[in-house]
Amino acid sequence: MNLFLLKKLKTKDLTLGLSFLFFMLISFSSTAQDGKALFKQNCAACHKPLKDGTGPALQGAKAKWEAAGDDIYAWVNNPQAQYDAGVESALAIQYQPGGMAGIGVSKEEIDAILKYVDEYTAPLPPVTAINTTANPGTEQNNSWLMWLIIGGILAMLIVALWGVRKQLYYAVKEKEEGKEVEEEESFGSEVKSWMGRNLKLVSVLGFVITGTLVYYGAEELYKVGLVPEGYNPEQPIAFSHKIHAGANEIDCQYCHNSVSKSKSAGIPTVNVCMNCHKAIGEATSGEKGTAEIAKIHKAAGWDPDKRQYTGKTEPIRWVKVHNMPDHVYFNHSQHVTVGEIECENCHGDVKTYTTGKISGTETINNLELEGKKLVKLSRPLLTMGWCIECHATADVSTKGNKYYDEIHDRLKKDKELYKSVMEDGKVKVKEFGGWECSKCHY
Amino acid sequence: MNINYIHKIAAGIALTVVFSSCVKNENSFGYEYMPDMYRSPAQEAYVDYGEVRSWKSNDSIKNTQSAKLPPMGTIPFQGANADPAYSMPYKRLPSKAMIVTHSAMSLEYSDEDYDASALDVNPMRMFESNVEHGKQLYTTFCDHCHGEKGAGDGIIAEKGLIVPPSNAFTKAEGQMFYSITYGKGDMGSHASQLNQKERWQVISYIKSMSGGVVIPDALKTLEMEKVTDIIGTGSTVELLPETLAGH
Repeated sequence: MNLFLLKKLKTKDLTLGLSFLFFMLISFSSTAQDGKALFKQNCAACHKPLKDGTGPALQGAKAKWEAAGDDIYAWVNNPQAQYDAGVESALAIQYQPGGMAGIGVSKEEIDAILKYVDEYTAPLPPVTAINTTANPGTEQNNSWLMWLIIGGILAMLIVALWGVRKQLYYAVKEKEEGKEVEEEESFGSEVKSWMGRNLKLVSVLGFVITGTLVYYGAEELYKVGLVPEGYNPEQPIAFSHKIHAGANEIDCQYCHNSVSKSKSAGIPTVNVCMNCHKAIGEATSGEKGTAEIAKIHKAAGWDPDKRQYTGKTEPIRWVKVHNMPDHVYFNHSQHVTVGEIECENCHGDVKTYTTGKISGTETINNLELEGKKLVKLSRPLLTMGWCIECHATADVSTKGNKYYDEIHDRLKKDKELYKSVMEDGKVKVKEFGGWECSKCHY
Repeated sequence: MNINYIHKIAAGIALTVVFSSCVKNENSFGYEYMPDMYRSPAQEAYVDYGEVRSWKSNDSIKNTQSAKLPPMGTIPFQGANADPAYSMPYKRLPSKAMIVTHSAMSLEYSDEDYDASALDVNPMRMFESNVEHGKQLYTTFCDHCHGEKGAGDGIIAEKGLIVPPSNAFTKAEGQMFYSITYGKGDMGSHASQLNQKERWQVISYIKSMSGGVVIPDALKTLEMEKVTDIIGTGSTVELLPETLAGH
């Protein structure tokens, strides 16, 4: 019996294996490979197999043309002629005539392309592209304190109201009976006598509670006037740096491209979004993302159904996150292009954020990024102490910068100054006037 | 006794106010010690002038668009030492269809200019420094779609989101410049991200990838003929006499 079963299983396995092999052979045959390469080379810029893009979807196109009895080969190599000749299938295409230039491919190549397109199935979405829980600890660490305080205040209110009720009760009783009633021992005095009996415990508890309150209070008060760590305002579009800079590895400067030339890093204009989102109308992350992309289309005046710009544009009201006071001058290009400071040194590991957020000095000090050297600082982020700390400790890379060659030549004339600057063998911003008030305040 | 209770309640309320404000609100910028000029009345980028705290509120300009396009045909000022040739408007015009396909706004349109642009040559000689800067720009602005070597296999292309043609870089230099400026197919205009000089630098790098001869920086001051003597005439576009004229 057992043997028989084993035998049956084996034959079944064998047929399965063989059929799988057969399937593999078919799907990876050389024509299909050529078709893919040819499609990518000649068509993919405008056409997609399944979805309409700049040109219509190509799957089933061959069948459609053959059913109508028209010559698709002639169309591919000279669309305008077919259109002018009034070929039925050509006229049926909803896209602008002459939008496609003749491609110049042979009949066999067209066959290979159309075969690839007709056999194409959509690839499965990537499974582990985005890590959704990057920093769970930093999100809501103060909420327990809030509940503690609210609980404490409620308890206080209950005690107070109870006391008031008791007072009123005695007042009413006094009036009704016309004489003074001897008060029972109140709750307050009970507590007082209990406290008297447990003086040690009460004093320790009191010390701990007062200490905690003073500590947290002082810490919070100290934050007044600082740039708030964790400031992560709601934006009109729920843009995700995690997807764009993280999973898709788009360089920071693709969107914030004025960072190397100008004072401000630049909030990307909508045309920069549309460089990609003209083609990408649906998010791989799901419906929510697609709705957010629709907001970009609305702002850019892009009609995704007709695939046309309507010209009716609308500004997006982004909220500025890193906001320096007006009395301090800060220039991005100076720091990024000349100073070669990494973006992460001031903005944190943006690739793990969704919308823009202010990071903290400690978070940045703990960052370890491959191939990037970050300056470690101790003062709170974006304060003046933090600025001048960096100006006093960070090395300046003087290599290949003519400005520093000039400074070096001048320095050589004053031997004592030269000695004091080069004492530690390193050059700091401070030594070139980076601590002068008027460098940043004028 | 009564007064005592009122004191306690008042203290409680005061404590609530103090401590509830400590709770982190991601939407709040926190306290300012004196309105600390975070909202600048000076001309600055990304300032909501309606939000400037002054003696007079300015509701009429609150929440209005601050970033705007310069008037059409404006020539950017790129410093006193910049070569004005690269600031002048691009001589090739977008085609009429590009108004709806690529949002191309222009004073004039031409349907022949894409083909005509094939005759344009790179005015920046393929010096080492140009190619190097071009490479930097390429990795920032191009390679996530076009791929490291331009085969159309960047990260975004591999995911099937945008698929650039694998032969995009076999086009003429001038046509590449045209396509970067106005966009082509799914690609939008990159003119706002790359100025004309940078566009030519990117093209220099692309040409160097497909075997274009890179000229060492040391030869910068030499005459064209001498450069050809040293490098040889093996390279194609970048050593045509027209390319070097005037540079």
